Amino acid sequence: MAGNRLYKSAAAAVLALALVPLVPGAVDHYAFFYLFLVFVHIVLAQSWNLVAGYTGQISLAQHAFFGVGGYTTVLIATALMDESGFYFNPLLLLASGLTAALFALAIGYPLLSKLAGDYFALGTLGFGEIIRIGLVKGGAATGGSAGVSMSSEPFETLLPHYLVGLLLAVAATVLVAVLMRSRIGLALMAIREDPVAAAASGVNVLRFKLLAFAIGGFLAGLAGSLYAFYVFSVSPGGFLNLSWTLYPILMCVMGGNGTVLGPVIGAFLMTAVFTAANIWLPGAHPIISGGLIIAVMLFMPEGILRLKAKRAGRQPAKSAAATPPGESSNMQRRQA
Amino acid sequence: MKPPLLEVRGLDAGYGDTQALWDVSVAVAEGSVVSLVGANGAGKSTLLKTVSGLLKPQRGQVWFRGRSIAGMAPQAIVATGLSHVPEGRGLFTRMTVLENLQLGAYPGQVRGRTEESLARVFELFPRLRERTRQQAGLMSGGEQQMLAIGRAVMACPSLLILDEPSMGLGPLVVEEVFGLIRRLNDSGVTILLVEQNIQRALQIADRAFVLQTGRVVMQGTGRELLADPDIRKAYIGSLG
Amino acid sequence: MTAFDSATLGVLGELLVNGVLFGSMYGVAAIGLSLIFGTMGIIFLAQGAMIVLGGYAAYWAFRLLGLDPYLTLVVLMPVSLLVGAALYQMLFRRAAALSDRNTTLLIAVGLSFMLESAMSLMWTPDPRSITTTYTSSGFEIAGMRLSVTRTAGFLVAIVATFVVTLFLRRTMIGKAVRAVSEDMVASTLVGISPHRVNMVAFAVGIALAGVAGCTLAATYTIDPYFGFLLSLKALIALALGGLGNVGGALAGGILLGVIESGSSYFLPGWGDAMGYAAFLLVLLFRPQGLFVRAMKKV
Repeated sequence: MAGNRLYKSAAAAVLALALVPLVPGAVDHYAFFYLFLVFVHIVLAQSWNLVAGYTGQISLAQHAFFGVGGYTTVLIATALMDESGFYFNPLLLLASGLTAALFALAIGYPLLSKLAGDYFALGTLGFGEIIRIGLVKGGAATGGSAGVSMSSEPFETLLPHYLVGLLLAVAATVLVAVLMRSRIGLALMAIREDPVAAAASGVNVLRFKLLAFAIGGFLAGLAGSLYAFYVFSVSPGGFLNLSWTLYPILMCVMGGNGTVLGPVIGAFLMTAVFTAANIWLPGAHPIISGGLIIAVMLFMPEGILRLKAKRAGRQPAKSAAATPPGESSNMQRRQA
Repeated sequence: MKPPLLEVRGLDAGYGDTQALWDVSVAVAEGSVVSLVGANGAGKSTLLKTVSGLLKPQRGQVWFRGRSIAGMAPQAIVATGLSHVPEGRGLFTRMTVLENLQLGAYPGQVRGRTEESLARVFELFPRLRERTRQQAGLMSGGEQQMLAIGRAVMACPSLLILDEPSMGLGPLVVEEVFGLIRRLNDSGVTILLVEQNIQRALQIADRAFVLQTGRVVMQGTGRELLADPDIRKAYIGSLG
Repeated sequence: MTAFDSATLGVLGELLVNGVLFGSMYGVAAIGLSLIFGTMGIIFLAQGAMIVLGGYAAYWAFRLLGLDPYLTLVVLMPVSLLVGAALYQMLFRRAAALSDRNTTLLIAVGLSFMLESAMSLMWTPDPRSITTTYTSSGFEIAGMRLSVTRTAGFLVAIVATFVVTLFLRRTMIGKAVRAVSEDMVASTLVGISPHRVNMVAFAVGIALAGVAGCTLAATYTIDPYFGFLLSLKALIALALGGLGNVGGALAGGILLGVIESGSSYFLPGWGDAMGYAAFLLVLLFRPQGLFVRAMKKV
């Protein structure tokens, strides 16, 4: 089956990636950094994929959870600097993810219980901004607008970042794959397609949406933590920048929304374009990203994977095609 | 014999991958009233939507006044003289009665005659004249139906398509509505009608088509079908 | 009343009035957003960037040609209408037909990125402002000191609101815009071409951005990256007003202006956050109005 072959090649790719550090000179090459960035983006993209691609809730707050994860990591690391100081304390990663998940639950509960569709997206935008302002105004606790830095001492190369990044990227992707094949995944997709019908079949819509949102927040927090370990600092401008929400969206949509490997493909492609743009045309980088976003949206809104599936004659999971005129497909209003 | 005003030939239509009509052929003679009857889900509304352009046919032809209109956009079809009052009426509830009527005369060909058309509509629907400034969404069901039909008439159509005009209306109002349809027809407007109320639909029809699960299973004059025992058993439920 | 009381009243009054004056500009931006959202369901996050672009137009017209920004405003009208129509045709026409949220949102964001970055490259990220002969002058009314530019901006906003309202109520195209906003399908059935209407709505939306931009440049400072914040403010104004009509959008903007004015006095630095808080409260507890598209009848 075509699907199996795809997964087999994916597994082979993971293996190859794991072996890259063994190549002499690889660790210092710019491509190594590129791959690390891809891994961060994959985790973020899967976060959005879960919440929006599979559950249908467009969240514009992933950057806030990303930032929360980063802040948690740096703040705790600087507080405990004497104690730990060994590579990638997994507990710290976990704690960052969980903190972000908690934030997600906190803002998800009021938003998801009352809003859907556009309203929900705007609500997440609002909360994201409030979180950002809170961090800026946090004074001594959060370092204000300058942020906080931590020592880069234990880390000499990018190798640990790379390996942990690869691990997290794979874990995130596998998590999404497993989740989607489970009962939970079915419930989420049912909610995306028709929340009313889902509720009528006994699905506790709010609980599932919250679950997806919290897991999404967790993943975004993990990505933030990972990135904080790379830049050894955290700041409102660098982390709670809307780009950290928009790029994953772009990657998901380009690769194929609501698929397991779509975000991965999107991440590889988009990160390549952005890093290339950054190297050769640094100032013009947003022009290129902006233009690319527009081009993809105009000509390939279904994403690469869906394009392939369509050609193979399979049905795309979410067909933008016909709904009877007079009924809206993507327009969700306030929940009853 | 004059060619039919509207002719549908071998139509396949549906929503996306779901097909709802199979090989449907229907003809509407100029000046007549034609009714489409059938159970819920038989495809009656689908047929109307395909004719008026809301749906694109998957296969087959639609001819109006000798022109093929299959696949044309609804707004272009309106300009050829075909007006569709959809199920649920499609009124602009946030706008006034007058504004709704004015919008009815939107197509370039008829906009110049707006005042004339308004006068004609007020003649047919005197109650609307009293309520020009009222918000459409605040009117009773019957008044809304009148407004919807009136708005369609503003476009000076040769063919008026009505989807379930009696829906949600009490019997007295239904009486009024059908009286109106009769008067419109007498004034020269051809009518194509979809109606749940089979009795009424067949009584008023010059010709009628019965749809069942997307196919035309019977056709004849209104009177013939009213008298047909199978029809009576299936839809009207009375004996003899 | 002691002198102290009337002074405080004066301060409060001034805050209020300043809030109203500044907020009216948000209102104008919000009206544009509401037209675009109402007809096409597009959350046009690039509105702020367009406003800044309009501001730059006023700035350069002043710097290079000595044109008063309010004069530029008039000249900018036809230009921005054309620009809006062109943007619609190129970017949004296809997506609007599909009514896919992701797509239109991302296109708007992509446009915003490109504009901001392009403006920064062309004109540097330095903030700009226009200083005319009357920029720092003010006048006194009832013990409050008001600036000429802000008052002028307010008047412009009122006029713009009035014009748009006339357009929507009195012209056929305007009525068509309202019709499409309520029910696109029914609109096609009366012969309205949705694409044409969408294009008009979009063009007017961009023209309003131009108006807001000129008044902004005359009243405040602009820089290429101000756009995103402005878009957010316009969205908040839209949500606050939410009364489903043009006046509502203006009112929402004014309300936001007042909130910000008040908070920046009593809680300096928290002005923005107060705005977002109000935004969220409204979304959660009274989201109706502009964001509710046609109530489908049974």
